[in-house]
Order: sequence, then C-alpha cells, then structure tokens
Amino acid sequence: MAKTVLLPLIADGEFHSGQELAAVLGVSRTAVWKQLAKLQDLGLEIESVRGKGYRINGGLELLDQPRIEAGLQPGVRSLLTELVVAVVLDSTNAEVLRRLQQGGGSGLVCLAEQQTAGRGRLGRQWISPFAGNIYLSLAWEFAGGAAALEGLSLAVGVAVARALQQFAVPDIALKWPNDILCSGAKLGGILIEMVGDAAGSCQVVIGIGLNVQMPARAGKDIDQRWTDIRTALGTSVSRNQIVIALLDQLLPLLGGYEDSGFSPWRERWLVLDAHAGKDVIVVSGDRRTAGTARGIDETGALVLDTALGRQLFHGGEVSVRAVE
Amino acid sequence: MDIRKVKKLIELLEESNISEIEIKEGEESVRITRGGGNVPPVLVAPMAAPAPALTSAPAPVAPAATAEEAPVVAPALNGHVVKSPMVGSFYRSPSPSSPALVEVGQHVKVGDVICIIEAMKMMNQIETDKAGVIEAILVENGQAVEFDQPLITIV
Repeated sequence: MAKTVLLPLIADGEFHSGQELAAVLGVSRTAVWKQLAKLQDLGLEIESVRGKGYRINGGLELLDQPRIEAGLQPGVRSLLTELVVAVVLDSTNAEVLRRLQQGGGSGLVCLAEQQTAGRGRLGRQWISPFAGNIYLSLAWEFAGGAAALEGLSLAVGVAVARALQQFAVPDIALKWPNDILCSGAKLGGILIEMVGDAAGSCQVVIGIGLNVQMPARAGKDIDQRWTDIRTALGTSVSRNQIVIALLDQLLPLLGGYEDSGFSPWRERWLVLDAHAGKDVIVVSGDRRTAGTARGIDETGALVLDTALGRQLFHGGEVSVRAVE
Repeated sequence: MDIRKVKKLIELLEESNISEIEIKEGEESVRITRGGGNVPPVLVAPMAAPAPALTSAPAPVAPAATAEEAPVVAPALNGHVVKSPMVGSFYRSPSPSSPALVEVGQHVKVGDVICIIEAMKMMNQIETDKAGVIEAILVENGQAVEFDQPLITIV
C-alpha cells in the first residue's frame, strides 16, 4: 500500500498532514506513519515538519503509462502493443518472458519502479532501487532465427546511446558489446535473452538498466565505477521522457532489423567505440587474451590485434589494460 | 601431458563427429583439430603462462580402436545431436552459482532448456527438440563454440 497508494499522494512535493493522509487512505495516523517509514526504507527522503506534515522535497516523478504512450512518435506508437508499468517486479526481463509464454509478442514493453532480483549477465545482480532509475524490457519476435539477429546486441547499444544523446548527456560511449559508458563510468547495461527455436521463429527479450538518479545508499553496492544521468548532466531529467526517447529509438530498430541487418548500425557503433585503438584484455571463459582493440567486423565481433595475429571475439569481457 | 593421453584424445576425436577438442590440465592445454586442409592438426598454446615443455603430438591417425580400448569417459555417440545455432560461448547454467541445467543421464522433454549460448551478451536458451536422456555433454562450460558445433547428445 505504501508504494501504490500513499506514494502517489505525496509524490507532488507538497506537504500533506498525517490527518489528511489518514482520511484519504481510510486508516489511522499511526498506520500512515508506518507506511511512511516503509517508503523511507526504500531510500526515499521524506521530510517531516511539525504542523505541516510530510513531503518529498522536490517531489518525485513516478513512471506514468499514459504519459509515455502519449509521448511516443506517431509511427512508433503503432509498434507498441502493450506497455506494462509495475511498481515492483523480480526482474522486468523475467516478467516479459512470463508474458511471452502467455501469448505476448512483439512490442510488449515492461517497466518497473523497482526490481528485487534485477539481473545482469551470467546471473550477476543489477542494483535496482526504487523510483530512481529505469528498468525496461521489451519483446520482439523474429522469424529468421538466431542468424537474423547477428549484431542486434550492439545495435541496441547504439539505440540507447542515441536516446541519451538527445538529452545532451556528454561523452557517451559503448564498451563492446553494449555497455553504456559516460566519461568511462558505467551508466547502463543491456541484457538480451532469446527463447524459442534458434533456427526459426524465436522471441527476443531486451532488458535495459539505466542509472538515472541512483540513491547513494544503493550505489554503494555496485562493484565497478558507475555514474548516473543526474550526475552527468548536473540536473534531473524526467524518467518518463527518457523512456519515451528509448522506445522511440528501440521499437523502430526492432521493427526493421530483419530487413536492415547489422550493416547500417556498424558505422554508428564504431563512432561510439570506447576502446578503439586501446590496449585491452578480453576475458572469455578462463582464457585471457591481450591485444589492441580494432573495432568490430561486419557481424559485430570484436577485432583484436594480438601477438599471434588478428583475432575475433564473439563473447567475453573487455577491460582496458593497466599501464605497466 | 602424457603422449598416450594425447593419442587417446585423437582416437576419441576420430570416433566421434566432433571436429575439434581442447583439454586443459593445469598450465598445459592441447587442442586437436580434425581434418586436413591448412589447419594445423595440433596447437599447443598456453596463453599468458610460463611455457611448459611442449608436447609434440602426432597428427591425427586412422583410428584402430578396438572394443576393449574404447574409453569409458566417452562412449561412441549414437544420440540425437543438439548443435549450436550460433557462434558464441557455451554455458551449462544461467549463472556460475546455479546448478547445471542438465546432467548426463537426466531425462528431458521437448522444449526443456538444456544449455545457454552467449553471443555478444545475447543469452540464447537452447531448448531440446527431442525427448530422451542426456547421453553426453560435448563442450566444457565457458568454452567458445562454432556455428553448428555439436553440444549435447540425447538418446
């Protein structure tokens, strides 16, 4: 109740007395106080002033389904079949996968204010505090199987980067295959899961996590250098506006990918390449390969010049080699 | 690495329809590729490790394996072969901390996810298109796989 009923009441940034909230919710003032404490546990800063009541200083913008749908470009709106905005989910990717089993398909989009089991690559945790960031998953069906999806993972990275550039987020780059970096720190990540027949009709679920306004307390749990959009811009940006920009980029990309393939996206990726010409190490399984990053080939594979010659990578983690 | 082991590996390879096999033992690793052409038959390349004494292994020879010699670890594979739909990395479980999706001897039904192939952070859940029992898992966890490479056999 705290998140679904009470929070929207006080999200406007105005003071609301305990009495008023109790009357609207039909509960005692003690119950209101307990619910407010729950919201504080989520990392929200609720100000309490004697004689005035409670407020969230500066207000809090919650994800707004009608507003997002209305904000999409006309051509994009027809590609969206369903927009689910949840308060709490285990993981938006998991939710989309469940809905696909129940008959969902291309253009199904799911957002959550909070993930309790947000996930990254290989079961890693994606820190997903309440109402600060964007956790977005969308589904698309492809008739041509895995072969038609070559490079899609990188193209999605480009689409996200382009959406962010519309807000003038500075120094956006992509770390192969598709980590979103801002001035070298991680701003967002993408995890794509594919189910169905890899040789025929398959469904792809694209999950995107973007740090927008990470509460400091949650940020402490992140095990690498990170940043968020508020820090990068020095000002707050509407999460709903960012979601609109993301969908305006992603839905047309998916709708056209089986026709376009990766080639038009390759040049765009190379412009955003964080590691071009740098000495890097690629860790793939338990193998470590050192070399100089030379962009990507026409399939999206990482090109690395090593002591043993040129090598291509289709998987693995890239890190910049420390200067010795 | 013991030369007899290498010979055994070559025999194993010849018996199966695998085109390449790579075995690691501590710092040493040996990779044997099947078939002629320009491909060097044997590559011993430990990366970023002090080079151990390299074992020169013989080129693949015609198998002369008799029934008695057939190693227990890899029986001749008769099962339905599940192949990789893409170039990528092979994983037996969704995360390092979770149990393998399938083990040898386990019963599976059509549509069960039996392994994951990752290509550029796209996690591809590979489902079996045949019900039966897992006969063999032909690839190590985390190993790179080629398009159409046999991954798992089911009888």
